[in-house]
Amino acid sequence: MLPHLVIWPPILISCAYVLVFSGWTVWISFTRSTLLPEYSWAGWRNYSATLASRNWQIAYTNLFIYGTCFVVFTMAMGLLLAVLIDQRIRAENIYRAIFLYPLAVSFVVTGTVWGWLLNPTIGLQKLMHDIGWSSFRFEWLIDRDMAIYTIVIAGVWQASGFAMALLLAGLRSVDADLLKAARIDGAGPARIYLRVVFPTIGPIFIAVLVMLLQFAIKTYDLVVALTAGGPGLASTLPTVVVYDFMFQRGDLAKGSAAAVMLLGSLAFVLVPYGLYQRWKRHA
Amino acid sequence: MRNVTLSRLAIHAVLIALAAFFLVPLLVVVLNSLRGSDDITRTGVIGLPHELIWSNFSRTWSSYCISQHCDGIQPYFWNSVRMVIPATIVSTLIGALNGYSLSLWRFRGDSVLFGIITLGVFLPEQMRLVPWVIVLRDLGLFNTISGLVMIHIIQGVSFTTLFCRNYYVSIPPDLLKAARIDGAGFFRIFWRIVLPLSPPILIVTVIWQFTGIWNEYLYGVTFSSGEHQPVTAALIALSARLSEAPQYGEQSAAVLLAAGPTLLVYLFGGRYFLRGLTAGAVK
Amino acid sequence: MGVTKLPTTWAEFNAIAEKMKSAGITPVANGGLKWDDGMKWEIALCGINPDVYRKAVMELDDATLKGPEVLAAFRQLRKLGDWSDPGAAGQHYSTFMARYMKGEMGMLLMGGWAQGVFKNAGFKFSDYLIGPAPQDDGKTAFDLNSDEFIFWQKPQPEFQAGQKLLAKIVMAKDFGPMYSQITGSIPVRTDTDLTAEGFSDGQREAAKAMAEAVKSNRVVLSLAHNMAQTNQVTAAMIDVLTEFVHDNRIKPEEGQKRLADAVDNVR
Repeated sequence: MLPHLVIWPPILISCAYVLVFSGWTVWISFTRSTLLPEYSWAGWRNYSATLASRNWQIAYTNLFIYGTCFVVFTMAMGLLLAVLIDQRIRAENIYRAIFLYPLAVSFVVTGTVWGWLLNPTIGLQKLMHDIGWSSFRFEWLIDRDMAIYTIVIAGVWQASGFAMALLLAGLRSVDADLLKAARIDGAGPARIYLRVVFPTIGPIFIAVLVMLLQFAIKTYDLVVALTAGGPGLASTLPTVVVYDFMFQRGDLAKGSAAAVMLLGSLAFVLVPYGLYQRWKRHA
Repeated sequence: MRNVTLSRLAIHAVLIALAAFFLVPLLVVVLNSLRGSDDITRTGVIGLPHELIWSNFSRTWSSYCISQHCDGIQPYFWNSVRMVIPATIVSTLIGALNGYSLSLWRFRGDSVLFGIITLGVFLPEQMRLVPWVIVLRDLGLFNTISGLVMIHIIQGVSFTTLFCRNYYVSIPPDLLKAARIDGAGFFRIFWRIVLPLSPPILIVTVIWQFTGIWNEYLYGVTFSSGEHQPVTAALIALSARLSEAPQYGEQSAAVLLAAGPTLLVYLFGGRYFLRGLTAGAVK
Repeated sequence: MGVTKLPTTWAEFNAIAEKMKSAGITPVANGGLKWDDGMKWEIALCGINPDVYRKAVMELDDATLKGPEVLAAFRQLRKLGDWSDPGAAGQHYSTFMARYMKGEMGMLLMGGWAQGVFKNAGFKFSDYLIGPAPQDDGKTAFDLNSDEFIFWQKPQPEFQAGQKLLAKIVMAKDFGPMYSQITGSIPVRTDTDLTAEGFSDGQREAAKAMAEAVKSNRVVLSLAHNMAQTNQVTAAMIDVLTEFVHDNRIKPEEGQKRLADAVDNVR
C-alpha cells in the first residue's frame, strides 16, 4: 500500500502539470483573450494573424539560420573538444574546467557579457581601433543582417561544453576490446575514429543533436540580453515573439497560438527522435 | 617518433587557442570587476585595470542601490540560496523515485506516463507563465520564495525523472529478481540496491538542477518582486539603472558574485558530472 | 557651434543637424529602444501637422495613413535615424547622457522625464536648453503622455479606503510641485504655481503650451507611450517603425505601406 502512496502522487502531479498546462494553452489559443484569459471562441483567427505577422516570419527565418548554425557549429566544436581531450592530455582537468564552465553561467549573463564584447563602441572593435588597427570592423551587433550571428557566437560558446561532455562520455564508453582489435589490425588514429569510434557513438551523437535543436528552439534569455531582438526586429526569435504577443501586446490568445506553433516545431524534432528510439529498442 | 611529437604539439596548440576563446569572457568580467566604471566607459570593455578597485565587490554585495533598496545583491543572493537548495534536493529525490518506479517496476502504461513527464522538459517557458500565475494566485503563493520553490520542483521533476529513469534501466533485472525472492519489497530494494548504485546519476542531476534553478530568470522576475527576488532578477535590475551611464565595474562584480556558486559547482564537481554522464545518463 | 535658439520647424532642425554633423557632433542623442523609435516618428508627424496625426494615429484613418504627411514623417524619421549614434539600437537614451552633456551629441527628442533623469544624474538646468519640438505651422500643439494610477475594483473596505487616500494625496495641491520637480513633468493640476526654482523654464513653457493647445484643440495623444491606441495596435505600429529606423534599406514609401498594412491587420 505504502509504495503506491509514494509512487503515484508525484507521477500523477507531473503528468497533470504537463497535460493541463499544454491543454490550457491550446484552448486559450482558440479564444479571444487579450490582457486576461477569456473563454470566447475565436476559431483559427489567432493562428492566421500570427502566421501573417512580420514578427513571426522574421522570427522563423531567424530560427532556421540560427538553429542550423548553432547546432552545426556546437556539434563540431563539441566533437573537436571531445576528441582532443580524449587524447589523454596531462592537463585534462584544467581544460575540462575551461570548456565546461560556460554551462555554469546563466543565459542572461552570457548575453550581457557577449553584448559588451561585440559592441562596436566599447568592445572588440574599440580595442582594435585603440591598438591602432583603425580599419577593423566588427559591427555585427548593430547590423540588421548579421545580428542573428552574434547570437550564434554566444550560443556556441555556451553550449559547446555540454556537447563536449556528452560526446566525451560517449567516446569513453567505446568498447576497449574493439579499439584494441583495431589497433592490432594496424589502423591509425584517424581511421580508428572514423571506422570504430564514431559509429559506436552514433546514438549519443543523435541525442546531442536533438538536445541542441530544442535548446535552439527555446532560446529566449540569450536573445533578450544580447540584442533585445534588435536592431529593430532583426534578431527576434519565436520565443521572443510569443512573450511579446502575450505580455507586451497584451494578446494572450495570439501569444498562445504562437506558443502552440512553437511546440509544433519542437514536436517536429522530437517525435521522429522518439520513434527512432522506439525502433532502436525493438531492433 | 617525430610525427607523434608534432601531432601532440598540434593538439596542444589547438587546445590552447580554443581555451583562449572560452576564457575571454570570464577574463574580461574578472578584469572589469576590478576597474572603475568611468574608466571602462571611457576606454572600452576590454582592458587592464590601472589600479585595483576592490570596492566594486563590497559595494555590489552590500550597499549598491537596486530599485529603492540599497543593500546590494546580498539579500537576493540569499533568496536564491533559499530557493535553490530545497528545490534541488526535493526534485532530485522525487526524480529518483519516479525513475525507479518507471524503470524497474513495469506496469501497463508506464512508458506513456514517462513520455508525458518527459514532455515537460521540452515545453517552452513562455507558455507556462500564465498557467503558473493562476495556480500560484489560487494557492496564495504569489510573490513568495515557496511559490518559486514549488514551480521549480514540479518542473524539475521532468528533468530528474528523465535522467534517473534512463540510468536505472541499465540495472540488471536479475539483481532485483534475486532481492525479491529474498522477500525485499519496494522500499528495501530502493534503499539497498538502487540508491547505492545511484551516486553518478544523482550528482549529474543535482549539478544540472542546481545550475538550472540558480540561473533561471523569467520565473524569478515574474513571480516575485522587490526583496523576494532571486539574484538573477537583481542582476538585471542592477544593470537597468536608467539615470546614469552603465556602471560596468559594478555590473561585472555583480556578475561574478551571482555566477559564483554555479562556477564553483562546476569547478569542483565537473569531474563527477562527466563521470556521471559516462556512466550512462544519456542512452 | 553658435546655436543659441532651438529650431522651430523641421527645416530649421534639419539645417542645424547638418551643421552639427559636419562639425563632428552626433546630431541626435536618442536611444534605439522600440518606444524611442516610435516616439521619434510621432514627434515628426505631430510637428508636420497635428490634425493629420489625430486622423492617422488616433482615428487610424486609412486615407490619411497613406497620405503625404505620413510619408513626410517617414522621411524625417529616416533622417533622424541616420543622425543618431550608429550603436543606438537597443540602447536607452540615458546611455548617451554623458556624451550629450559634454557636447559630443547635439539634440535629444524626449519628453519632460528626461529632465528628471538629468537632474538625478547631477546635471543643472543651465547645462542644456529645453524647448518645444519643431512645429512646422508655428502654432502650439501638444503631444500628450501622462502618468496614470489605475485602481482595481476591490470589495474589501480597507482596500477602498487605501485607494481613496492615494487618490487624495496624488491630487493634492502640494503633490504636483514635489512630484514634477523630481520627474520633470508638468503637474496635473492646472492651478499649480510654477514659479519655484525647482521648475525649469522648459516646464513653465510646456504648461502654458498645454493650456493653449487644449483651448485650440491641438492636443494629441502619444502613440509610443500607449496613450493613443490599445497595446495590440500600438505594438503593431511600433514594430514597423522600429524596423524602419534600424534598417536604412527600407524606403519611406515602403515604411508607410507597411504601417498602413499593419494597422489593417489589427483594425
